Amino acid sequence: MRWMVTEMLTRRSALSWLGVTALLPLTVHAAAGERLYLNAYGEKGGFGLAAFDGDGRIRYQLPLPQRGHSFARRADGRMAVAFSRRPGSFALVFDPVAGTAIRTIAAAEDRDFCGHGAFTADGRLLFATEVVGSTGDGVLGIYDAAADWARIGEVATHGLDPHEMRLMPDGRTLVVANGGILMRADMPRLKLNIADMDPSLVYLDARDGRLLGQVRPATELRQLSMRHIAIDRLGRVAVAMQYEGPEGDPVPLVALHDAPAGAAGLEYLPMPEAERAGMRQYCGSAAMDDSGRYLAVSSPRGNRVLVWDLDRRSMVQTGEARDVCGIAAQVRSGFLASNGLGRMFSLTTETGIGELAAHSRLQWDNHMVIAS
Amino acid sequence: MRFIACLFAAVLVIAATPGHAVDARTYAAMNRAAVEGHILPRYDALVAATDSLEAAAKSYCAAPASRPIADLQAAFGATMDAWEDIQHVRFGPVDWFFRSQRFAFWPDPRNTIGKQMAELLSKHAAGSIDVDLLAKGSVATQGLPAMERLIFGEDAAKLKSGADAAYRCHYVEAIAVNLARIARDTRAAWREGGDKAFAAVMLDTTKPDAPYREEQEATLELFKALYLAVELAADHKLARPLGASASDARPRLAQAWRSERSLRNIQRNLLAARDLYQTGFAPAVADKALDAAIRDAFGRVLSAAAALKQPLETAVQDKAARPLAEKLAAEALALKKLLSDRLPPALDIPVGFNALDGD
Repeated sequence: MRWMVTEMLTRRSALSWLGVTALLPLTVHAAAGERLYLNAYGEKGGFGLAAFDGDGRIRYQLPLPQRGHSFARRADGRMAVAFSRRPGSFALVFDPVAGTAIRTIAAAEDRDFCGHGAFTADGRLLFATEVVGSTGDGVLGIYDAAADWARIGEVATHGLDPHEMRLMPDGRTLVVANGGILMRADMPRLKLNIADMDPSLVYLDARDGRLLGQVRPATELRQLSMRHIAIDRLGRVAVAMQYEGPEGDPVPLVALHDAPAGAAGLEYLPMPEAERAGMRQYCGSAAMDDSGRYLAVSSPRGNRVLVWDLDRRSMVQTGEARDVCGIAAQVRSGFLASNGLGRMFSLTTETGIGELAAHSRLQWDNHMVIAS
Repeated sequence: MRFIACLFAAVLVIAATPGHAVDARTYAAMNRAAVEGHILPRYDALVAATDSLEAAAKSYCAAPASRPIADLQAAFGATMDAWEDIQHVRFGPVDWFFRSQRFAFWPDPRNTIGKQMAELLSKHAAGSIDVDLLAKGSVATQGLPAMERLIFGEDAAKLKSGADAAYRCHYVEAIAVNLARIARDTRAAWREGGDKAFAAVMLDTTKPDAPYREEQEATLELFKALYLAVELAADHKLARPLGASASDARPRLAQAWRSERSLRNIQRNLLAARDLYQTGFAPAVADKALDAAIRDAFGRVLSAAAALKQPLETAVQDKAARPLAEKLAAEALALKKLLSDRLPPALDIPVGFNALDGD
């Protein structure tokens, strides 16, 4: 399978690849004026996704057959994919500007979607984190946008329970957070190896799936499930984790990994003990601000969002809101956040956290993503 | 980004929910009733059962060739009863040092228990098994499921005669000692140490290192335990061996098929859930119609379990008995849904939309 992928990828022009790479970074939408955000939701009787502006005003809603989770967004902002929550059976390709569904991708035989994915720099291929249902092994499913979203292959994530993945700023490297928890399709959402977890952060070559690097927490921290990631302006990967061990263990919950340095280990971000304990061992989502310097990590169990200045390695802000999870950069500064009670918030150091909008019929799901 | 100079902006709490319909005193009363009336007595019972199991293992292994194994099997059964009565509590001391998994590693889809036990048993030349090493080793080989494999079925005869009979008996004894230690340590951490006892810190939210900042958080933890008991029974202990049809049934996916205790375990789990509901939650449920509906659902699922007169392991493939097992699974599912949909709003427990494991 892996060879098939390699073959297909090498047929593509490496030059066109590199050409698009320059367009990639986070600044691509800065000039685009108004920003559009995506967030899945639940409501009485069903599920869907909504697009809304920076003030939390909903532009459109699309129904989903099951609960959604996160999104992959093509660099040009004209195509997006919503993934169903794990164990997920479908992904929905849609036009995030027009708000129209394009195609539903069904999960492959013995594969479940894990809720996250990413496009290649040229937008041609879509990668999705998936698990092999019968074994729990992690793979990236590879879908070809130019071939009616055919699943052209898969590559191993070298770990169990892959969750969030992103394309690195070099446009060629994929970074995947392996949660390290054994789960199987016939035992939905039951964790089967808590005493024997093996979480890791892996870097894969987007061209052939080759393993470029893998980093793990120290043995005594192997119950830290690495699940969500954000990439700062220096290409460092911030990892937001969930601890599967006892509630009272004083473990770090957010790490930074300097990917280019490769061999370096994880650097755990400092946080005051009261704030650390307040996260309830559970990070739900991670996002960088527009500058790529400030990292926000949410905790729906701890009912708060924490913000770090990654240049100074210091925590700079706490915003509290019940069941808050979705976070994404606001234009220029600060973050937009959503919660399970239908609220949307703006979070800046100047104003703290303030409510922007309330959609009381909706329960916003875990992730907010910039659509265009 | 123009962050202003001050590094810590004021923390602003957004009240996203309407005012609490249930006050802190009510949550505190629920928590206390659940801890003192449900949890602590069950750990006491677990200690008593494991003490008896340890004694039974030593007694049996003093003369395995001549003593009947039935006494040891009965002591095992009593210990598993006591465990199934409290296995839904996964927080606090039983969560420390992997105690819950060491006591009863389940489920085990990769047959880790079988593989690692085979490795351990292949070392029988070593002569004896060190309990401390067993406790520090794999969670799969030191608990009830490992002992079940040693003392039930064909392997039971290997305790009486054979090259590794003595070693196997040492192993049984070591597991029994280990289980008794885990039970005692767990109970001690809940009960002992004055205001450091887990029961005390769980019920006192004012201490700086209290695990729960508000009474409501501890109530949520208790609700999760209640829900887990029913969820495991419905979605895993019943649904998996049942399969979609009789031809699809897989009796060996039942939790304790070697000792044919799978149905009994489910009954204990459901009885435990009912006790936790009645002891801890029911007094605070103001909606009497809901309270009646929940009690009725518990009654129906327990009746369905009682109506099943043969082991789950055979019932799932039996033409006459399978519908009764299916009825039990359906009632368990209905109870699960009732608890998850109706109880949290009635008690204003914030079961977060986004706080599910792993998302």
